[in-house]
Amino acid sequence: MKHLKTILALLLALMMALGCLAGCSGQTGEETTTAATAPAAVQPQETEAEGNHHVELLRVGLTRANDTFNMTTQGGAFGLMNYNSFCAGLFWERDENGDVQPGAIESFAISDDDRTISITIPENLYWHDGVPVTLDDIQFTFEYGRDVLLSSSLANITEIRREGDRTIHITFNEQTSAFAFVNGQTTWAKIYPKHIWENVEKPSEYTGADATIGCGPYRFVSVDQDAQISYYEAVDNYWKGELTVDKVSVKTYASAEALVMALKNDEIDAIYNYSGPIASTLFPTIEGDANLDLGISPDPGNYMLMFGYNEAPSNDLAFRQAVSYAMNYDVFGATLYGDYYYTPTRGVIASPNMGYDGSLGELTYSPEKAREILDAAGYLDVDGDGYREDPQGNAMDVLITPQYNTSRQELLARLAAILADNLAKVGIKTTLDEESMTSREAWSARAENGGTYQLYLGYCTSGIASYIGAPMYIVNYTETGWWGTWQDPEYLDAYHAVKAVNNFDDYKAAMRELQRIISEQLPAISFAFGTSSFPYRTDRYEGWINYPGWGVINNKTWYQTVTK
Amino acid sequence: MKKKIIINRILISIGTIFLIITISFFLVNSMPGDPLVNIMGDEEYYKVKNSNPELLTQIAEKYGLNESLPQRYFKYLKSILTLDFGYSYVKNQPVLDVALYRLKWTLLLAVPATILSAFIGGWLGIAAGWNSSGALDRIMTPLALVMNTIPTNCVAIIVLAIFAYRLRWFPISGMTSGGLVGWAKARDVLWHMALPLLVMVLSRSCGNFIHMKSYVTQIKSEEYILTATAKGVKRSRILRRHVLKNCFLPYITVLCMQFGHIVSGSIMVEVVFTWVGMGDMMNSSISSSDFPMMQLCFLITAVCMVLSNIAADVLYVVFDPRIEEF
Repeated sequence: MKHLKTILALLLALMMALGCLAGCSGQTGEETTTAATAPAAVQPQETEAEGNHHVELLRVGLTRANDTFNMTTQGGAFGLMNYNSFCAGLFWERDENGDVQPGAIESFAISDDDRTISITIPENLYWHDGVPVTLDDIQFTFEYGRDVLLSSSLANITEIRREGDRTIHITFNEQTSAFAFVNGQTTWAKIYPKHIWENVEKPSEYTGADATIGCGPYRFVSVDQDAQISYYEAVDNYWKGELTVDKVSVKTYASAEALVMALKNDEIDAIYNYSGPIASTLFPTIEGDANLDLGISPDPGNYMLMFGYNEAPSNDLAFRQAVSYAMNYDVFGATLYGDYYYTPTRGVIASPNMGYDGSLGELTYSPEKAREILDAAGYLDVDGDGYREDPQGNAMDVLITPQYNTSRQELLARLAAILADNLAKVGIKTTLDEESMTSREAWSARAENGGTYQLYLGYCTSGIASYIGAPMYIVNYTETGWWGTWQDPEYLDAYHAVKAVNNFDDYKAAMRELQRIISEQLPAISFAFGTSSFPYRTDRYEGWINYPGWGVINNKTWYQTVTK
Repeated sequence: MKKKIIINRILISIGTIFLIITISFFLVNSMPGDPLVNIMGDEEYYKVKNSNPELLTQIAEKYGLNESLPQRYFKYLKSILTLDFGYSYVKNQPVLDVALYRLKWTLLLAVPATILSAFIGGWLGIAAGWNSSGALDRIMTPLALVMNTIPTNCVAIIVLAIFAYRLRWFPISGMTSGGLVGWAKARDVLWHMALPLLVMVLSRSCGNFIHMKSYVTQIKSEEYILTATAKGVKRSRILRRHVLKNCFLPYITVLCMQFGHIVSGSIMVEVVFTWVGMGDMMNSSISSSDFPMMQLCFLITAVCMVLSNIAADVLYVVFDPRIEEF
C-alpha cells in the first residue's frame, strides 16, 4: 500500500509536470502576433459607461481551424471570417437582399460595353499598419492576382488605367463580362497591400506577422493556437462608420453539435459557418431557450436532383416528369429542414435569390400521376416482378449517384434512400452508387467530363447561389467545368444571355427565362426549398441582421450589433 | 550476449522503418483523389479546369505533383534525411512544425492516459484474477467487457453531454481557455484534459483489466503455484514472487503495443473534444489528400510502433532471465 501511494503521487506529479509543460510554454511558440497582448478573459463585458452600447467582445464560434493567417488564401477560420469584410478589405460585398455593394472601396461602375470596371477608393482608407491605401495597391492587387496567385478570373485583363489619385479602370477582353466578374468575385476579392506582398514569391506559404494586414474594419491581434481562439480589434475611426463591436474572438469547435452546446453554455455569442447551417436535428436543443434564437432565414442554396442526359431513361422528358410527381416533397423537406421548409417551385432556384420566379408553380407529389405518365410513355412492368421495364422491354435499374462530399455524405445518403423508396412506389427500381459516394475518384469518373450518371444528387451552396447558382450545374460541363450534361440549344442561349447582361434588371429577366426552360424540361428538381439556421444568443446584444443563408455574422455585424 | 541482441533488434528496426517509409509513400501517392482540388478549393478548381486547364498544370508543377513517382520518392527520402518535409497543401505551413506542435498535445493526453490505465487496469486485474468470483471480479468483469465493446467516441460523446453540457463542470471542448500563461494556463489545461483523459483511462483500463485478469487466472492454475501452496507459502508471497513476476512479461507486451499506438490511438477522443493533436491531424490530412502531411503522420506512427517494439524486446531481455538469445 505504501508503494501504491508513492506510485500514485509520482503519477500525479507527472501529470502536473506535463500540464505545466503545456501551460508554461507561454504563447506556445506558434502564435502569430502583431500586437502585444491577447485579451485575458473570454467572458464578454459591455461598455456602457460612455453610453455608446458598444459590444466589448463578440465571441464567434465556427468549425474551421484557427491555423492559417494569410490574406492571400481563404484557408482556416481567418479566411472564412474575411468573407464578412472583416480584416480583409473586400472590393465588393452583398447586403441582406443579395445586392452587390462596394466593400472597402468608395464606389464602382461597370461600363456600358460590359468590359470595364471603374473603381474609386476613399481618401481615408489605411492598411492596418498605418500606410495609406493607394491606387498602387489596387493595380498591384489585380496584377499580383493574375501573375502570381494565378487567379483564373483575372487572366483576361487587358488594361489597367488610372484616372487621378482615386479612380482606376480595369478592362477585360471579350471573354470576360465585367458584370459577371463583379458578381462572381463579390465576397471573395480582397485588396492586397503592395508594400507587403510585392516581394513575396510564395504567397500561400508566407507566415510573416504582416501576412494578416488588410484594410478591413478589424485588425488581427493574436492567435492562441492551444486554445484555438484568434483575437481581433476594431480599427480606430474606420472610414465606413462607427464600429459598434470593439473586439472579436473567433473560436474553433469540432462539430456543429459542439457549437450548439457552446452556444447554450454561453461560451460563444453566435455561430458562423460558410454554407454550413446547423442540421434540423439540432433545432429542438435550441428551441425553447429564451436566450437563444435559431437564426432561421430562407436558404438561397438548395439540394437538388439532376438528370443525366447522356443516359436513358433520365434523358426522357416523360421519365423526368414522372420522377417529379413521384417525389414526396414533404418528406424531403422535413429531412432537410425539420419544420422549416416549403415546397419547391419548378425553376430550381430558391426564393431568396435574385431573379427568382415564383409564378412557375410548385412541384407536386402525386404517385398516381407518376404511374400514369410512366404507363403512357411505355414504362411497363412486363415481367411482373413489381418493377417497370423501359419502353423497349429491357429491365431497368436506375443508378442514384450522390455527390462526393464528406461533410454532407450522411444527408445525401438519406436523400438517396427516400428517393429510392419514392421511386419504388411507382415501380422504378434503383441502385445507390455507393462507390461514388465514398470515393472521390469513382465519383469523378462518374460525374465529371460529360458524366454517365442517371440521377445525381447534389447541393448548390449559398455562395454559388448568389450568382446564376443551381442552373449553372445543369448546363453541359464544357461550359462550366462542372458536371452538367444538358446541351439543349435553347437553354445554352438563355444561359449565355445571363452571363452577357451588365445590370441587375436584365440579370433578373434572364434568370426568369432560364427558370422557365427548366420548369418545362425538368433537367433538375429541387428536393425542397428551406431555411438555414445559424443560431445566436439574444440575451446580451441586439441589432443582429440575419443574412439569408449566411447568418448574423456578416459584413453589417460590425456596425449594427450593440448591447441591450 | 544481451547487448548483441539489443543491437541486432535496433538494426532490424531501422530496416523496418525504411520499409514502412517506402510502402507508406507508395500507398499515400496511389490514393484516389486529386490533391489539386484541395489545394485550390472545389469551386476554383472546376472553374480553372474549364477556362484555363494550362493553369492546372502550372499549379501542379508548383507543388511538384507533375513529377514521376520515383522522382517524388527520392525527393521524399532526401527530405527525411534533411528533416525538410515540405509544406502542407491545405494549411500552407511546414508540415514538421505542425506535426511537432500537434505531437506535443497528443503526448500530453496519451502518456498519462497510458500510464494511469496501465496501473489501474493492471491493479484491478490482479485483484480480480487472484480472487476469482469475488465481489470485484463479479462487478468489474462484465463492466470491463461492456466498456471494451462500446466505441470510444460513443463514450466520449456521453461523457461530454453529461459533464460538460448538462452539469457544466468541464468545458465543451478545446485544450485551454485562451489568454492564459504560466500556472493559470497549466491549471486550465488540466481542467480541459480531465474529460478526454477520463475517457481514455476508462477505455484503456478496461482493456488492461481483462488482459491482466486473464494472465493471473492462467498462472494461478500452474503447477508451481500449487506446489508453493502445498509447501505452505503465504498467499501474498505467492502472488508477489510467482504470479506477478510471470504476469509482468505479457503485460509489458500489451503496454508496449499501447505505446506504439500512442500517436494514432486517440483520434476519436481528439475529434470529439477538439483536442488539436496528431489524431485530428491524421484524420483531416487523409480526407483532404494532403500528401506531405499524411506521409509525415505515417512516418511518426511507424517510428512510434517500431520504438515500442524495441522497448518491449529490451524489457524482455532485461527482465526475463531465460532469454539469452533469439
